[in-house]
Amino acid sequence: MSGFLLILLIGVNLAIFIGGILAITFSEFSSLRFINRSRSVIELFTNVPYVVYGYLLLLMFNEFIDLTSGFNNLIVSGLVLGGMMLPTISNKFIRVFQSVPYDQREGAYSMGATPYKTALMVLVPSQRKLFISSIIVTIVRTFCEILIVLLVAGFIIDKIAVIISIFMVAIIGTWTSQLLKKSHYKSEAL
Amino acid sequence: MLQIENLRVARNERYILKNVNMTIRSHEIVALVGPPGHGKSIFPRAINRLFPSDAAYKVEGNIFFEGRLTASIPTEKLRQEIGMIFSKPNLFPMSIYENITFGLRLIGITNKVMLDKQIRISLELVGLWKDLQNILNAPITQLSLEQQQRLCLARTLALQPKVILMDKPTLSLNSSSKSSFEELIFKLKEKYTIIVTVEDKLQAGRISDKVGFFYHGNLVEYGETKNIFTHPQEELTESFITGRIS
Repeated sequence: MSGFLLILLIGVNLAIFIGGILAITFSEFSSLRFINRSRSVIELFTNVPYVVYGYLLLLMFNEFIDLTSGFNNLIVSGLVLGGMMLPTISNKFIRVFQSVPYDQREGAYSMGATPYKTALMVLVPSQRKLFISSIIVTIVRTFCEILIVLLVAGFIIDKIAVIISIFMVAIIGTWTSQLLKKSHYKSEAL
Repeated sequence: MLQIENLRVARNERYILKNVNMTIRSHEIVALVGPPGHGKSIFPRAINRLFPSDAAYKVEGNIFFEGRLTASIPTEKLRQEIGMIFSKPNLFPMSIYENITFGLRLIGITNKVMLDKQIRISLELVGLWKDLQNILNAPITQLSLEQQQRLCLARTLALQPKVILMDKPTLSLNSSSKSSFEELIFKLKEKYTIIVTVEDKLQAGRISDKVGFFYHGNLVEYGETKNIFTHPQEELTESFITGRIS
């Protein structure tokens, strides 16, 4: 279990880091027309099940998997997991960035902030609840998909316990993210 | 302080400012007047290269700031020396303290003593120190619109700019707040050079030393406020002053 959590930690951090950079570059440097046109392509990538990306990445990193080295496998699994989450997490981050009105960016730009500094010093702190909510939703979806695949593949024997845990994680995760979203919009409205 | 030569600005390949020439001296308040959509708001934005995100803008011509060509100054540095405030207060959804120190943190000042000192100076300049000194960590949502706009100004002043650009700063304020904000602009003249776009020509008469009248992207007339209002040289300016063009 601790190994799985470690893999999840590596994967989540990787996805947040690369997804964050992608989202900032996409939403702060691209023109609105380009964003609108490529929105459907990104949505398409997001709707592909994570296991498909996982399988592709696993094929890519196949030669690095070494059953005698635990560390090697840990890193490869983390990379695969991060790659699985990347399309969804970057798409959600882009949406959060785009939900911020241009006024706020203008305020930061007028004081000499670069788009990256604006994103990190203004947009991320002001929208942190929405960012956390996006991360929770992505982790929950990944966790549930992994468990389902393991269940179908026959690696997990106690099926009922797994199904119950999937439902529990899905319900708690969705509920927490909705709560965060609600509290964010409530504080915005004040 | 600022020398503008043959400034032309195109929005999506269409010129919205045409051959503007202007000289602005230190500690002057220059008001820009004209009917809506005739280029007066885009002029200050051309100075610090901060255009709206809705279209592609192209700037031609030379702008000299203290003898230096602004095109040769990095955009970030230029915007720190030429601050700007907007028609709507655009504070960040953070505390008052974090808002004012944003610019200072941006240039790498993190020393609490220095930040506190600068906050006090900025808030005193905009007349908010007495009201806000005990609630610096409160969110900005507690403030009135006028206080928010003053805080925007304080945030800009914290960076100690030499020129302040104001794009219709009193547009969202009520009449009593408007007049007190105008007094503040007039007071700031002692320390800064101010270029202000006004929504009402009478406001230009109240606060400015010089007035520039924009019409169809052209700077029709530029001169001392008193002269523009009493003896306009151009027929168009006279039509605007007398209300035939609005």
